[in-house]
Amino acid sequence: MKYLIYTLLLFLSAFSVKATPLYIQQVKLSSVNEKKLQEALKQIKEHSEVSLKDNLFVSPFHKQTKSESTDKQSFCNVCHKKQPHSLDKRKRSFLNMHTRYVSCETCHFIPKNTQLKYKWLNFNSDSNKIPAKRITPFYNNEAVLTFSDNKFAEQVKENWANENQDKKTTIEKAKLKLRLHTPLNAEGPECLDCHNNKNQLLDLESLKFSRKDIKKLQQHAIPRFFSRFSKEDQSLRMTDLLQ
Amino acid sequence: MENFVWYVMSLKNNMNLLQKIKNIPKEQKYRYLFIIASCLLFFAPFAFIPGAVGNDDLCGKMCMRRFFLYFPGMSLDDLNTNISIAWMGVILLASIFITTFFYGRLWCSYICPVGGFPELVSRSLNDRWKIEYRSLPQVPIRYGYFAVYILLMPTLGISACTLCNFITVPRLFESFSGGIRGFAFIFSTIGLVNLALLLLLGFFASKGRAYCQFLCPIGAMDGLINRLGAKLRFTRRIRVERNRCTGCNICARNCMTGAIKMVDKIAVVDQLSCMSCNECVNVCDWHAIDWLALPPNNQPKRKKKGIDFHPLPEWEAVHIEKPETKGLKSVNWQRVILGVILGLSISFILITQVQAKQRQTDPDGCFICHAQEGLEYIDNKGVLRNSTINQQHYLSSLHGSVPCKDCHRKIKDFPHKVENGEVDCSESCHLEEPSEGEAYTHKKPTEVFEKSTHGEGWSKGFTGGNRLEESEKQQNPSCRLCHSNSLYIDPEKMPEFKTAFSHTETECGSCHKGKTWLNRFGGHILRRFLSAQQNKEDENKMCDNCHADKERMKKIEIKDKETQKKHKVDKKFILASDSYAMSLHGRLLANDNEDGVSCIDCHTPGKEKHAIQNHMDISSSTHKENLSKTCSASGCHQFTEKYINSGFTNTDMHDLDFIPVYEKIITNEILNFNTGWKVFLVIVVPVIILLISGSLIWSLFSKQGKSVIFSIFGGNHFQKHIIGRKPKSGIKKSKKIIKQQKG
Repeated sequence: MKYLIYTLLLFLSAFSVKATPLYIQQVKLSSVNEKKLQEALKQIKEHSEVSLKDNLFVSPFHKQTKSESTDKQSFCNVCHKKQPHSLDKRKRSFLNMHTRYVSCETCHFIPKNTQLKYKWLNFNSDSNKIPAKRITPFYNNEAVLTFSDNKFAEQVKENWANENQDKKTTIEKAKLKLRLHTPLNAEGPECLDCHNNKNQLLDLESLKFSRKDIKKLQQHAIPRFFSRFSKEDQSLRMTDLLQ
Repeated sequence: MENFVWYVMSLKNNMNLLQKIKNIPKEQKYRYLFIIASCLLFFAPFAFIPGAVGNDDLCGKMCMRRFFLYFPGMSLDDLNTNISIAWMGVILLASIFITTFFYGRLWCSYICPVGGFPELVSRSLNDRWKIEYRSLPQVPIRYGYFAVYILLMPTLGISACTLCNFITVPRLFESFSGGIRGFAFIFSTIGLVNLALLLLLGFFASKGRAYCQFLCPIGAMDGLINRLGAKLRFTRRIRVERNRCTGCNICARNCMTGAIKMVDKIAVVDQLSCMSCNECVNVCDWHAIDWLALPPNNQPKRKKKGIDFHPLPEWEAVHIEKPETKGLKSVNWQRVILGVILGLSISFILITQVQAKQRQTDPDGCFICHAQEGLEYIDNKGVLRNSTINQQHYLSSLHGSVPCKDCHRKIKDFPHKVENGEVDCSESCHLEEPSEGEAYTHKKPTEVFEKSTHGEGWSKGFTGGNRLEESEKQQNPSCRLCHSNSLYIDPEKMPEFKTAFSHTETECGSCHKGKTWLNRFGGHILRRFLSAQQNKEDENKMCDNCHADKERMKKIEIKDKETQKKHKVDKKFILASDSYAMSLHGRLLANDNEDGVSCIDCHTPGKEKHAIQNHMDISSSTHKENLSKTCSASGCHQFTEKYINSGFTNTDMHDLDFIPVYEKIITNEILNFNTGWKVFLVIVVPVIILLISGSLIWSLFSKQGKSVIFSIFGGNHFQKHIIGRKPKSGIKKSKKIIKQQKG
């Protein structure tokens, strides 16, 4: 009897109509502020595209692990590079490292007054490949943000790719950029917001971490090492890391 | 036959010896026979028992002594491998210990051929020649040496085999049974040391068992087990019945190990030294000493008014002295010394273990961060920077044993300052060069490199960040361009290395003891052996990495050493890789022929692989003056050293004419006067043109004469022999006429 109900439930869920993801809903609802629009325009003007230089003639001395490649890209990767953090010299590598375990929206999309559920989402569609799972927020059993292969993403791509230099299109572009970023927080949480003993942002147990791993994550040396930085340009003794 | 009769007669004459043999107790005669039999079983020429496991002496698989040696930081796994190597010896030792526990040290007294043989020799010699060791405090000496043997000698790198008579005695047999190896060994250092030990502590020691008493590590452990089981009732030991002992001390005089001591005129057996050879039992007239287990019931048969009637004998194996005097004399000094030895040994093991654990692979904790996967960012120049270091790869790489800080010296802070992380390849690190014991450094090759034609390339100041700068601005190779931190052993050679490495235990390991030694130096030397045959094609690939890239080569400017002026490279330089590939040197290599010659073979034929010079430089191996030496290096074209053959060196190894035409087109230079063919063309073509035009002009003005066959050279000859015409009248004819006229 129990299993019958389960199968029925599964059956039902398969037929249920897909709702639009929460992030897209919020983008559509967002309004454009004049002051922010000017900022966005300025950013677009000042931005200069740097082409990615991989594989230099002089190869690195130490053998390094290769960059991970996944079948599916996050919606953010339509514009942002796979290593999006580059401003904070101290933390950028570590933040980029997190993109292997955590999807962008987990840190940058934390809407008020809505309860999100966090689950692992596979970024590899090919079942033969090793799954590239990332912690992703879900709302009503629907990922808050989808991959870059849906209609919404295609539309954004199309709008952004408009190469007209006239004022109208740039303003349109700025508006698009603004609306896309309105539901997001530019600053993600601090290291210790997750890597602490209490009050983590994520419920690690429900994410099926083992107790050992939870303890490891909570008491990891690196975030604790970073917590000692009080000033922006302060440098820390490496020996502290060993303690 | 006569000889034999004479021999028997001489024996009869020598009544002393016969008497001596007669006086040996019957049981002891059997013991001697046992020893002789075991000599035959264990030693050459027959060596039945070692032969059964494919060994021909008591070393290697049969070694009973080596596997328990302690090396600092030794783990249980190391012990296991040690055991697996000498498995036969371990089985033998275990069976010795088991029999010892129940029956006393029967192995030592009845079987051990290494101790038994000197005993037999010693017993057959005149007592006057011998040294008496038995009165020395043998227990502290033995265990003190034992501790040194197990702990200190391997730590200090002294081979435990140096003092092992398990080598000498079998080799002695081998040498007398015709084996050259035995003779050769005995005259080696270890052989001589052991021969001296054999003579001093064996043949010329009273009763011939001094080595067993003082130095034998198996005996030391066996003695401990003997002592351990002596307190138990069911074990067979040499026990003394104190009530029967008359104190005649004949047992003490006859004891070959000096284990019996007269205490208060009663014989007392030291079970740490007793070998249960039963000689004391045989010589005691009073049956006061015997080799037996205690009867299960030691209750007297009858007891009346507190007095035992017909008491059963109290056979005592261990006698504990209870001194009545107080003060220093009441202290059992033997126990104190043994306690100190034990304490020192344990603390030694603990300290070395702790030290061994401190030798971390990552003492500065760099891998706490750098082992994390995906530590990447894109810098403002668009370079994808990756700070992750594959730890597994690093640890098994060439620099795997170098801690990060040895190269990145000044990094102390986070975020790391770029200039603090700069690496200088000529600095020395904290590792020791295995063969010299000096700090390891790449200073020498760096110095050679700096003087070479590539010398402007970087050898210091390497950071992860300036790879872009180097890639775009540097025309000379840096250290890191050619040498990446490759694996210590090429994965392709790994199986070969592994099989060779597993043999080091038995091959190198039979002399060079110690896991540490084998792992570090053995591995190091093996790797050298394997990579010494470096593939010439791989060498060329390194050169081709730059020199085959024509676009890159075109941009290169060469500085003239004298004028310090820079000039662009010529076509020959740009196409060097191609022209080499067309030469016999290159073609042979391309066909996997070992006789092929790589770039390095000619450009730096010596030891210094970095000393490549421009061919215009007089010190260069490819300079015209040095070519005959270079070509004859490593036995290639040795005839070029003779002056008469020096023309061989004119062979152009980078001859552009061999290159297919389409390769030439890509270079900008139209004419090149460097090659001989072009010079030929430049001279010959105008001459031909001149001749043709000249003859045309000549034909215009000359008179049309008779058509006669006429040529400048050889015309007369042709006329005379082919046509048969008489030579033209000229000077010769006129001379003839003059002669005729005179005559």
